[in-house]
Amino acid sequence: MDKKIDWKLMQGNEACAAGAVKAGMRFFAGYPISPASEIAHYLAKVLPRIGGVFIQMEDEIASIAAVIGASIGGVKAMTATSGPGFSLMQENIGFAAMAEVPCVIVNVQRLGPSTGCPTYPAQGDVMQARWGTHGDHPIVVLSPSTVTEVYQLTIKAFNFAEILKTPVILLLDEIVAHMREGVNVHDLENIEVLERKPCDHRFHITGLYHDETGFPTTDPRKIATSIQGLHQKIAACEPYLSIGIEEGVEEAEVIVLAYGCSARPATAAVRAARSEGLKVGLVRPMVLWPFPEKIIANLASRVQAIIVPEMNLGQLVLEVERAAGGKCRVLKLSRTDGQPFTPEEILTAIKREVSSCPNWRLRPIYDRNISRTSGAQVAATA
Amino acid sequence: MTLLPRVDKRQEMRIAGEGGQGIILASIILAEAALEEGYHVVQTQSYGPESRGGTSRADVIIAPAEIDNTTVVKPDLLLAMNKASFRKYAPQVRPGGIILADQTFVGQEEIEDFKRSNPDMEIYSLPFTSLAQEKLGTTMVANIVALATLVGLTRIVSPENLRVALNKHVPKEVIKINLTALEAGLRLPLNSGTSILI
Repeated sequence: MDKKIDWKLMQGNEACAAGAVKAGMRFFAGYPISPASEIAHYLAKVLPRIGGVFIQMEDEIASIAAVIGASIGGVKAMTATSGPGFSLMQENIGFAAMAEVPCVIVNVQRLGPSTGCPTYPAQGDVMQARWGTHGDHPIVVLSPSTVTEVYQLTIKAFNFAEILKTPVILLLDEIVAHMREGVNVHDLENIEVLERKPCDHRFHITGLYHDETGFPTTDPRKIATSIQGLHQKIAACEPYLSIGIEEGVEEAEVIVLAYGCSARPATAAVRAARSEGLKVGLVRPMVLWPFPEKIIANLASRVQAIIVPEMNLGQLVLEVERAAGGKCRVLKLSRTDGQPFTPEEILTAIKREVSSCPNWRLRPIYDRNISRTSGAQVAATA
Repeated sequence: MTLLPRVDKRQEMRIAGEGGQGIILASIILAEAALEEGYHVVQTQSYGPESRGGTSRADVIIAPAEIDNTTVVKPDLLLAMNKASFRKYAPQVRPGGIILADQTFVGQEEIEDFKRSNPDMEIYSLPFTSLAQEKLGTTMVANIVALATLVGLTRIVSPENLRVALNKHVPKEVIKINLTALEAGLRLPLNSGTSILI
């Protein structure tokens, strides 16, 4: 290690709150919930001292509403919650997408569904982050794996929100949020911060389809232009949104694709496999949505298999399968018991894949017996 | 008494007990001290929804290089502050690993039984909580007595850096009694001699 004066012990949630302050966030509204509460604790102390506002609202619906209001008022704003609160916020996240209000929503994932296991980790909200609110809305979702990345990506989340005028979801998980790590202070410096542009005119805002005046419209052509525009602004920024880390991908035959807390044991497993001479690489996307489709499609045409370890029953793996388009084998590795992956189990999956039979395309997809099973029989077994 | 050499490879330490015993605080102080020492550190935790009661577990990984994996599977060292955590985590310690158990809650017979079936493990039994009550008048600082004993036995970090870390994470109002607890813990292995080694 270099000079120890440059190192600081920092918690993931603390890094998120500190990153938000660094990004110029001066309005936080939230409702306490495990495992996200430390973000509010930090900001309740810090924001009032630097001229910011911290409000504990009556619930999560009010929290996101206040955040949207503050942002429209010209202040960078954020809220932080976990699964149950994130569910409550969905309607207004859709409003922010439709009304093009920049804001950041932190969701520290815990084991669900429902109240689930409040202090146990999971990655079960990947699809909810994408499709939680109704309608064909665009969204940006970021997923860090280290405490340093939490800080850096929080600032990026605000930058993306400002550029794209859209809500950005920072998807943490209990492990990344509660973990403390030695952070190199230099890694937290010199990160670009995009300022909010001052607005000198009055405008109308609505969640209804609207034209460039901001007033509602039901004109089919204007509706089509509007929804396409919402998506095109994000597609146009794709190169800027393509952030992630890859390791040993050039000569790899098998790829492990992991994000959030699962990326740490995945990294250890890939490094162990490579030290044994196996042709294995790691891909660690930090932007989950928009999904890095082209990158995965390219990868799929070069490798034999992509393994996706996730702390859910298989969510991002579906996107990987879709992008791979049958060009390589895609394997899900699930863990839903609230315990993190061990590098050993990912390494075992890698080794199984490296030595697997090439006739994978011949395997049946559906169990044919199901058509002969009556509903009553299914009910009896259940 | 075991002196761990200067950490030249990844060391996994687990501190476990009941919610309210200060398990997570002890792990944060250990992690901070290791960072002061110049190591890479990762501290993780697992606890129930209760703020008191239930089981609480914290892991500290200390390494000379960047830590890729944050999952602890086979700890090199376990500090068990109650019976439930001794029963749950002692069998997970790697062969040849070190265990410190709080004699106040973990029965001597149980520890000796465990030692018989795991002869290669180095097990210390010390009355952290009752000692904190007797000498310092409160069980609140049992975590610091235990942590300091761990440091006194292993020297994984220097006592000086442990003091620095304690000062960073303990509120000013109670720093004095915590520093006294720290010194008591550091002396504990010396005072008890070899008799504490099971």
